Amino acid sequence: MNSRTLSLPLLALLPVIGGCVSRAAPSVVPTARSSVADFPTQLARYVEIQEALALDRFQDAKERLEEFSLVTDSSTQALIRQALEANDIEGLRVEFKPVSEFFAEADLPQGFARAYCPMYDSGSFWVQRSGPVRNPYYGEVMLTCGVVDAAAGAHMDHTPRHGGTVFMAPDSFHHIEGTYPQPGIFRLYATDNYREPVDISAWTGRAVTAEMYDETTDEYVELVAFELTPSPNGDYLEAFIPNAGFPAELAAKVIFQDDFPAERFDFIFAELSASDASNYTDVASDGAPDAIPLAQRIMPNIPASSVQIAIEIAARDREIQQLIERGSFTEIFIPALQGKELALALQRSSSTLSTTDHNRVRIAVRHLVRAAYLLDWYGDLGNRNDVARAYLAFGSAVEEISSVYKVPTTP
Amino acid sequence: MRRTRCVIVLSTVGMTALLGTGSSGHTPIASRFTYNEHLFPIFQRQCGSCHINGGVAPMSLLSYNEAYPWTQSIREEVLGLRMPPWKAEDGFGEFANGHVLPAHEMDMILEWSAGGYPQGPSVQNQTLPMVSNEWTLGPPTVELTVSQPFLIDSGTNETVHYFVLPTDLGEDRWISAVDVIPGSRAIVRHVSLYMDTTGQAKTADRAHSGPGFTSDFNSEQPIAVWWPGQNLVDLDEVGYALPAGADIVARVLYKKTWITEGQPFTDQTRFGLYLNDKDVRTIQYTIVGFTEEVDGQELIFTHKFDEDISLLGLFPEIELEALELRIEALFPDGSREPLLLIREPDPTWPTRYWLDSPKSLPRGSQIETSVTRRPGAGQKAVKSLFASNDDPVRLLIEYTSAVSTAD
Repeated sequence: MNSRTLSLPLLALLPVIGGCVSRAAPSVVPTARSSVADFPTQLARYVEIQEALALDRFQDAKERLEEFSLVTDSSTQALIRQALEANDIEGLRVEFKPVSEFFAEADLPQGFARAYCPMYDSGSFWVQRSGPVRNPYYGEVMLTCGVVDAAAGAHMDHTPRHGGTVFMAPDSFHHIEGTYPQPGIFRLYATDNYREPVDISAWTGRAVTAEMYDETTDEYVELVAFELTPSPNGDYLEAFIPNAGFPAELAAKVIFQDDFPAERFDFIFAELSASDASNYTDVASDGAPDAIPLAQRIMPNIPASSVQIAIEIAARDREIQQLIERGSFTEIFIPALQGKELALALQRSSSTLSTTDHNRVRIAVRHLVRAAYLLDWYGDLGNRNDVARAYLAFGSAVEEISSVYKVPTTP
Repeated sequence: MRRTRCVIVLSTVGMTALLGTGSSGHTPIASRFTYNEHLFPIFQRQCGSCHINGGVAPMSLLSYNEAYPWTQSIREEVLGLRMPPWKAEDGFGEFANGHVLPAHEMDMILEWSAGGYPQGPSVQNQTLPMVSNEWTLGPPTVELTVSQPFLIDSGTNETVHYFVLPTDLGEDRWISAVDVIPGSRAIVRHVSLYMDTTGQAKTADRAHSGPGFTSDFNSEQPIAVWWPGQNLVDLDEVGYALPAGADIVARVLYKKTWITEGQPFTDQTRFGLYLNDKDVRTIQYTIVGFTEEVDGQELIFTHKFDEDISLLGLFPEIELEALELRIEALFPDGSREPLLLIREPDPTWPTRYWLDSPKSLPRGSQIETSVTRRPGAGQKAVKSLFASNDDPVRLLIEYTSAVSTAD
């Protein structure tokens, strides 16, 4: 398991924030000051302050707050006057909280999201633009610390738009699609949580085609890499890879934002990507998501015999190996989670074994359950190295189970 | 710019997987398990000793509204095998003072945390647990308390302090169990107790103003190793010899979290000794370690017993980042028996593992410790609770020299 990846910050999509009652947008009561703006304008100004605080820019935040004070209505005037008294960024953050909570209770237009940090002042809300968490209370030191409300209808569609392979970025907001439209040309497209294209003109990255594992550091050293550059129209990043054959294997290492580490996405192209925009369906618009929990939908048949269950687990193991070999990481979750269900069923029936074998199965099943969830997670993110590490745990657990039940691991 | 990678952020990564093929998307609720129906009992049992309001952990997990913002963190801690902190795999040895999170409970936590963390219907008669200040085993034979409250000032976030607790017993006794009731539960992270018959602890105490002292107290066999949530073990037929007039020395690790940082605390922890009237076998010990230069991924060292023993407990310490620590008994006939398996060993939760029942090892048996290092891993010094050397892997083996009374 790779602890670095386990600690990656991930954007939250909360279906529910307990304890908060949504209400209509605050009424904008005209006052003697004719400059009071409508709610969307006020919200946009508020978010400018939030973004400045997230970047630790006190002066900028203070100036934005002064501008904000000119367009707010009576509902927040007192709070803002109080905030303007702050002499430093920590003081401003303290005063920013009640202003934030005022906006957090409103119905927010698309493009904005309510977020929550359970650490700051026993839990604090704010509003930000839809996207990765940008915590205004802690700023750069814990920029991605927080949870964001689920965006209705978001993340319902992971269909390729350009005939490529789609991964979820570790920020859980961006979707990354890699394509290989022509020999020697790799393209990387990015969309948001609604699969709308995002501006990638500030993104940088490399397409790595050869690397070497360094055991002393447990890191991969790049041997051959090609720069990923934005296309003229800004639709995608592109790298030219001379002398590439099939299958074309590469790792796209992409930096979404300065000062953040590169995120890795591994692609294997057995053939050229065929873009066919009519070939995908917008799942989000197809109606409500299926209410049946996933585990029930992919639940395998559980054989009556323990040996047969072990055979089925070994079959899932082989399926995972094939998917990894093909680079189909996003499909690994099915055999991984099915293998997990079979393993739990096996444990329930392992009491007839000798104590030694029962214990071997007990330990292996726990190991397998954990590995299955790691494969599910890492498979989504498309990082081959993490998938491979998780598979090592899964494979060793299957080997142990197969040994107990004398089931061949190869067909 | 130092950037802290906060792990509290919730995610629906993995929920990509929850809708079928790779061309699907996330689903808001993809878990069969709900907090109220399934997760609360698990959190209460497995996490509630620390993750309770006023507990040593920075957040409670004992209500939905307190738990759900930490879903991503819960998922990562469980997947990383960092939480719960009890590490010994059941089945590779059985233990009296703790149990690992079982597979089906791990499954429920991970499905819930990755699958939309539904709250579920309210459950009748579900009462919030309270912090208990009662002795787990009933009133102890001797209750010892630090003579006056100890101040941990607002500027101190972590410190180790020693306290001398005179027993004033007029005769030799045996200690069969020890319990600890923290004075400030929110910051008492770990306690180990030692015996002192030399008077060195009292000397150190006198040399230090205020209660207790800070200099290291050198002792090899802790009579208690405590952190919140471990099951207490009443040794009954064996015990630690407590000579008349001996002092107990308590080593207390105070550690604040981001919730308690900057706050002053006073602590007056209570210690309960359960003494055995009858003569019981005295627990002996030996300390072994890996003494060679660390090289390669696997480290192995053994200790051979020249007498018949009854193995009682194992207390490993490791300074290396490792994937696995494994301890097995090697019998003279060449056979092996599993004793202890720890995946992702974590030195921040020092633990003595009491075997569920004593294991007889005939003369000539060996205890083999093997460690699989993490590739590229480093070494970080860890203050030993029993050894005076700085071996990267150390093991305290506790046993009685005769055949177990359980036999």
